[in-house]
Amino acid sequence: MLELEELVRDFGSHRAVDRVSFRVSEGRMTGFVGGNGAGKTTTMRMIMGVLASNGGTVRWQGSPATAEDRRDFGYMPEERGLYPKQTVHSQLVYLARLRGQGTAEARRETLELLERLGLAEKAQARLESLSLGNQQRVQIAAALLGSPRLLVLDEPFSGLDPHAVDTMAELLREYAAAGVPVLFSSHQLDLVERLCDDLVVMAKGRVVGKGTADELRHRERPRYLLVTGAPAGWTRGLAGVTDVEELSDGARVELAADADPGRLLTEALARGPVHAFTPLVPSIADIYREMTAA
Amino acid sequence: MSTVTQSPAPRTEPAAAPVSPGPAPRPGAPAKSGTRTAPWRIVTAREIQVKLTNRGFLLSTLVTLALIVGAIGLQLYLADSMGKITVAVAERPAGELAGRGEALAVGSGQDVKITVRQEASAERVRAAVRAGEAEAGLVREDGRWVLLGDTGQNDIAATWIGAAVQQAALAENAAAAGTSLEELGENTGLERVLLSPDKTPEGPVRMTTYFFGFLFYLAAVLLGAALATSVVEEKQNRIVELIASSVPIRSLLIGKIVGSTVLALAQMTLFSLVGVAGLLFTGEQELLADIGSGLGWFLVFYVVGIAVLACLFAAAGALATRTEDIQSTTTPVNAITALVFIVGVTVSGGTREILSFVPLTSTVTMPARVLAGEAAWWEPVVALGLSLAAAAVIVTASARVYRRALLQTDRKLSFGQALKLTD
Repeated sequence: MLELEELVRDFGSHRAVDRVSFRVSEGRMTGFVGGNGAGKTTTMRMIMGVLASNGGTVRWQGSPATAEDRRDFGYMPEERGLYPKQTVHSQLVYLARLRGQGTAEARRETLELLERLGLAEKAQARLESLSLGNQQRVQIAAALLGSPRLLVLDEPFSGLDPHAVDTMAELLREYAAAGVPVLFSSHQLDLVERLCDDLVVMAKGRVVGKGTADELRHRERPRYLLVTGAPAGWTRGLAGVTDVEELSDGARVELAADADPGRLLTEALARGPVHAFTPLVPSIADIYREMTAA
Repeated sequence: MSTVTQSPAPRTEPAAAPVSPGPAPRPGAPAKSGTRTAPWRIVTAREIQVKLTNRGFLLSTLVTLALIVGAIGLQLYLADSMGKITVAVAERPAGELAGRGEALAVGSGQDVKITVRQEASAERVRAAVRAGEAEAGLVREDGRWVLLGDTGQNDIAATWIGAAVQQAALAENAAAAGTSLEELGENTGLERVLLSPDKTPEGPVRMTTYFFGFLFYLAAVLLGAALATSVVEEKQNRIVELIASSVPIRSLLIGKIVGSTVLALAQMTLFSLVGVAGLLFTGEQELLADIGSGLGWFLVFYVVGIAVLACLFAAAGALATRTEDIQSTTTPVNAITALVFIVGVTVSGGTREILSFVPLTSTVTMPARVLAGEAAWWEPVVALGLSLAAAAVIVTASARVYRRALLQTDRKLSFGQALKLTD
């Protein structure tokens, strides 16, 4: 398990990461979301030890992460890049060896990964001769080398075509299913929603929300859509109602956490026909907007 | 209203990127095998392998080799043809003088061959010289010997036939005065004594210093830009973040320094071997014998000097963000190299003694002092120690600069700016 404790990073007088704490658990996919400049990349760089922190701790399996630990972390940096003039196979073997593998093992694993990513026949091609999509796949392979125990992926889906997105998603799921904690940042909230078990939301260098997607969804006051065929402004006066958005054929009603939605429905039925009464479950995008709006 | 999709939408298997149902990931498997190769050695191996398969590198090596071989060939040709002249004569005594001239030259250890070309008359002799059929002509006019040249006098003919004529005249005059040439020449010899015959003569020391100074400069040219470019490569390709997450930046730098240095030294060795073979072939064995004893020191200092220089070039590379910056960040290092060459081969006395301990300038000055017999045994050892210490300090500072400038991929830095950055 990866744990971040009160991680801090300053650039001059600007605090880019402000006492960030969260954990990425075994076998779980954790989505890392936040606007540009929220501090996601800086946080990931500190996890990988590429950037030093000004305070706080990165813990791996309970103790502060060492360089040795980090060699077992698979990383896809925000700044993509490989050796353009070197062949796909030789540079992946090189990277695997830098991560501590023996030559034979590095070769075997590289071939295996290339096979999986559909790049086997491009193994001896120079990277620069590949299409952009295939270059991205090689980048993915670079992150997955050396049987990583943790995956830290900065925007792994950016620049991928829909097919490659699916490939990547499937791979990540497999790694998570095999017990690897996976942390990935993304701006594609629909993907995050589809893939993630846990979520960490950052804004202006701070964590503004974390937990499972369900926890986050239910953190807020429950909202209901009431369709009666006519504006339902009358709901405003009811006990337990905290906010009402009147619609032409009903209303969106926000209730206090301990209020009983049944009473609202009973009241509505007493006033006339009810065409629909349904809880409004917020999407991750809704939650994200709400959390980062301030 | 939005609903939450818990399961991924059904999707078609991408035709272009089939995810084969291959082996499942083996996360956390105890994959790292036995003893781990030091990361710098892996970097060095890649550095060398990439260079050896680089067409530009191979081509420049071959071209330089061809130039050296060509220069030696030219020297051989010139040496072969230089001492050979043809002298046109019209009468027998002139031919004898030419023969005596050749004998005098050979007696003085010169490689001279004078071929006599017999002509029917003085007029024909002039014609032959004018036509370039002979380098010189020897005729007698009004009882005096006259050496003929076309547009200029031939040096060999002027010197050695001149000496032969003089000797013949002296012998004639001596006979006329009732004495002999031997008697006349008595006690005119000058005996020469060397006070320090064991020390290497100043000439070869100077020549060797020039040679190694020049080799050092040449190595800087070969090594410098290549190493700085190689150091900036990871930043330019933006792969550096990936590598920095696996190994310490210091390992990357050391691997690159060792790789480039080994290659540059291999190139220099190849060039030197061909050069030495050339010296032997052209009959300069004496020079080699003179400097042979000091050659070892020159080589040791050369290797260490190159290592220090490589560290400096690595630092220059660390400051750059892309290859275009290298021109400007390596300028100070190139200036230092030129200075080492010029200062190293020109200073003497106390200044040379001081500079022989300063890293980089010690590369040529200390072995020159050893060769000249001026240095005690511990002096080169101390100088080497200082050079190695300097190399270590420079590598540490470079790694720091490189590390701090790691994520500055948008601009080049000054050394001051780089040191001010934090990790």
